Amino acid sequence: MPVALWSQEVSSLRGTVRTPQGIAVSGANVFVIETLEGALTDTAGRFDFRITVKRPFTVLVKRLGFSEIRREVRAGDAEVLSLVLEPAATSLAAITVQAGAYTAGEERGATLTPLEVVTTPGTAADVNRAIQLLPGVQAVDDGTALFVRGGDYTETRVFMNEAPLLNPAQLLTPSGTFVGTVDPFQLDGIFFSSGGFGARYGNALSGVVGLRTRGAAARPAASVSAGLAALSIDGAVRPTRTLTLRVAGNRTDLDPFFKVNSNPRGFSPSPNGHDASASATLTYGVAGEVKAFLLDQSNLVGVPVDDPAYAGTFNSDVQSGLAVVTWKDVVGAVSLLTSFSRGTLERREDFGAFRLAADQAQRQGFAQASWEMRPGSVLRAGGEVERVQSSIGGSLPATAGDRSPGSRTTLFSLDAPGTRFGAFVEADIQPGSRLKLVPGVRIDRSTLTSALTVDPRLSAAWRWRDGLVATAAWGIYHQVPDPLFYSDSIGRKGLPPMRATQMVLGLQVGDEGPVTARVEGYAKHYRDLALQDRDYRVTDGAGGTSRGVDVFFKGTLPWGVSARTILSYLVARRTDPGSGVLVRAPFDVTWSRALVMEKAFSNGARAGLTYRANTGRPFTPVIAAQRDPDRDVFLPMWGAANSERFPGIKRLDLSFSRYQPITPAVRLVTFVSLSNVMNADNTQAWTYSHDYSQRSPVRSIFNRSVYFGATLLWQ
Amino acid sequence: MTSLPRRMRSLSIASLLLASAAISPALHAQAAGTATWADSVSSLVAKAMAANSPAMLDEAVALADRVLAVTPKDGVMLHYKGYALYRKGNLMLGARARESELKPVLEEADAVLEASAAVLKWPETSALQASVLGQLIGIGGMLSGMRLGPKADNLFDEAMRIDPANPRVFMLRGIGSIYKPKMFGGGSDKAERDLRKALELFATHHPVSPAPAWGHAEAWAWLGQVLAGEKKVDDARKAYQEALAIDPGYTWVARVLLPALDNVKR
Repeated sequence: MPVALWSQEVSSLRGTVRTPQGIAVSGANVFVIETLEGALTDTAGRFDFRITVKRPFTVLVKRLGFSEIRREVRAGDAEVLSLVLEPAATSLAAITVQAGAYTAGEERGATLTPLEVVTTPGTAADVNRAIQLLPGVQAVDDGTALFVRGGDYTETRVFMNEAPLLNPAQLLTPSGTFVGTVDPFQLDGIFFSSGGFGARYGNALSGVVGLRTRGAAARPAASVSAGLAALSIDGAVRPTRTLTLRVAGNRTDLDPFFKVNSNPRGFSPSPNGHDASASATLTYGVAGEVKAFLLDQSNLVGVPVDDPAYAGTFNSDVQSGLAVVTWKDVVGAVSLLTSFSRGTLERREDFGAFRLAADQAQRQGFAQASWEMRPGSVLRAGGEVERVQSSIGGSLPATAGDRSPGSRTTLFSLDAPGTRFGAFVEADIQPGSRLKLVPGVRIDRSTLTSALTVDPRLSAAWRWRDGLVATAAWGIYHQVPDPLFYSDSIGRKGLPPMRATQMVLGLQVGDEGPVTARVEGYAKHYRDLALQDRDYRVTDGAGGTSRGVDVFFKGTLPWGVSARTILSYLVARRTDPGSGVLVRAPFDVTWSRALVMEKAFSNGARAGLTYRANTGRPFTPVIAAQRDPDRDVFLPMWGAANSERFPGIKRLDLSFSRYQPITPAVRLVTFVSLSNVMNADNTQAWTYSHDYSQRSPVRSIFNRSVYFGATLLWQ
Repeated sequence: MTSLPRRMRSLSIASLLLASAAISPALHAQAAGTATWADSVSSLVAKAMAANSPAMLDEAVALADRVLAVTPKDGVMLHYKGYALYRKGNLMLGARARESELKPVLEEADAVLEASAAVLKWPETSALQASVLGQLIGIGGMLSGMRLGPKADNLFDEAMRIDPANPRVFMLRGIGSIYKPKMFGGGSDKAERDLRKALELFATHHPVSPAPAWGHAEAWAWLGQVLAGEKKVDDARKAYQEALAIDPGYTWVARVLLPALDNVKR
């Protein structure tokens, strides 16, 4: 092997660091960014260290109380560098608060830690249920779907390692979904925005959830967990210093849970499913990382539904998969991030005359480059291409009141690809130590809408004083309607993109301390909404508004009890697709209140409670019924759309867990939780007598119930 | 005929060794990832503590800062930067540094350890942050105690939850109990109990790099001080000798603590 190949030029880098007034700066960290070779300046501001890199290279100088500087050293530059450090205007920490945004585990100032997400009582360690306890999310039904600030749950997009999820909620039932999509123990970062999010995110009208899976493991680890409704295992190994492999499997079956408690709806089969995931993370250099993540899931449920015209079983069978590869690295002052993903979703649902068979395959490529122009100021640009192939078919009852088999139906089918191109540019600018601005713009074009949309967005944060930050955000948001709506039999081709304008104003106290309080007011205006009426026909050109206030407090009470509380007020109006009149939106939950309290004890025990109380959601009452002599069924006559409300919802959940070492490497976690301690009915729907003369409440699937289990951890 | 290939193999191995020595440590470490940087910072801290040198701790912090300039959210490197700042705070406290100089160091340690804990769940990170808050309470007085005390307790609880068998967590809590008034849950009896528990756990504790591996000799040193405070001079001497058996270059024990036993009235 030629020795010259291995030899390197060794030289030294010398110079001085001074203030603009010529005063020597001691203790400044001077180093070459390409190799990290460097030294601290002495009391005379001098530095002298060995380097092994050829010119040109970049020198970075850091010193507390001074603004960081970067200097490119070129071939013709002087041998001795003379560097000048400017004193920093104010040494305040960077502003991390952003209107509408909540993070877990990402950075200092995070709203929730990942631990708080998985241990929140009443959430069953479900990410979506934990997010529902953040301000801005309305608990519209029993499910895990995220109804954000007066918007439908389809207006909130969930991304996993930058890849959009086709089914952000699983196990569908008529009154919601059971669990979210992702095992929270596979996550190390969660971002949630209830509005005012930046130009990076497209095709979402109301909210955004960003999930990041775990990467490199510090050491091998494994766990086995068994609970009343789930059995799961996971493990991580590190075969080399740069490679981490993870696998996880989870089998869910609510049958034992219903046997111990009760089966309030007579589920048959009980909700059951599995998810399996695997990931490989390869790290290289100082910042390079390649991560591959695979997810495979299935969910099956059957629930009896007693309709006046037909009593039968609503069956839902969902299979989904996701493969995503992400790559990130830092080249000089530029951070690069790309991801490629493929997702599949097969959904089968049937109830009497209603039949749905939907197969979707999605491919997405995303790329982003971030350039740190100067400390605290970042310019981001990127884009994505997303192609969704939808094959949807089935039958819908011709009238909503008669879903019995053999009733008149409308057949629908769609087999069309839709491709969306998006591009964005956005900047994080801190003009001074007190102001942060995030201006951005994105453009999107979809082959389904054939329209080009331009969405300008601006977010601002102003630090009045230490620990007191005012925030504001404004932006235009577009979303392509559900591909099903482009079927000629129920909708039409060429539906335009739906549009929302959002405005958010807020104030946060204590952005980095043990106590955080945030108040946010918001206003949303919708137009060009595509909505389905009671007979499943699509109406376009609908509009609406949402206005409200969210209050959030997080702090530590006496005796080390951590507490979080939210209070949300909402007024949401939306066009009724049946009458074309602006009425209460179906998700207009006026008041949402929640209190979460937790106490960790030094012996490894942890106890917590969650109390929730919400206004009931609106519904359209049946005011009379007319007999159809041909089919001998009664057909309902509806009153004013969404003119009545379900009774309010109240729920108290308790949980207790204990962590115990078995050996230095093996620990046991035991947990028990009590849901709906007050056994409140929490009506979710009505069921009617055959002639609609009497109605009875359909109570929540969450009766008073107990759940317990244990986890064995090895590390 | 067989000697030539053998000689060629030797030459190849020699040239590889030569080449790897010629590559800068930084490039070498970049290829191996941040774990090697963490080892370098940790090693610098150990040398600084042995030499009682704040300047060497500044070098350790500076090295961590260089890596963090490229990977600002690296939990391991944030941990080791916080650890180096914690040690610097220890030395400054020992040298009776002015509050105006000490407080920014401890506050930076607090912020850096919190940032580390947000991305990496190491029990030592939470325990170190709790210890840093304890030092801030020490220089800030009663009001600081009311504000930061519950947070420090929660951090120790969090560290225990992450790993109830981590010896450094017990050691740091034990050290904290030495300085914490009994009415607020401290005291030498609790300190001794935690330090003995730490030593029991150290006996079977074998962490793998880049996980923290310090503290075994230090736990004996602190136990010796607790025993000396209780006038148990012989037991204290044995504890110091255990510390020196683990780390013969432990100058603080050899030159300060052991000689000080001669002045303890039995």
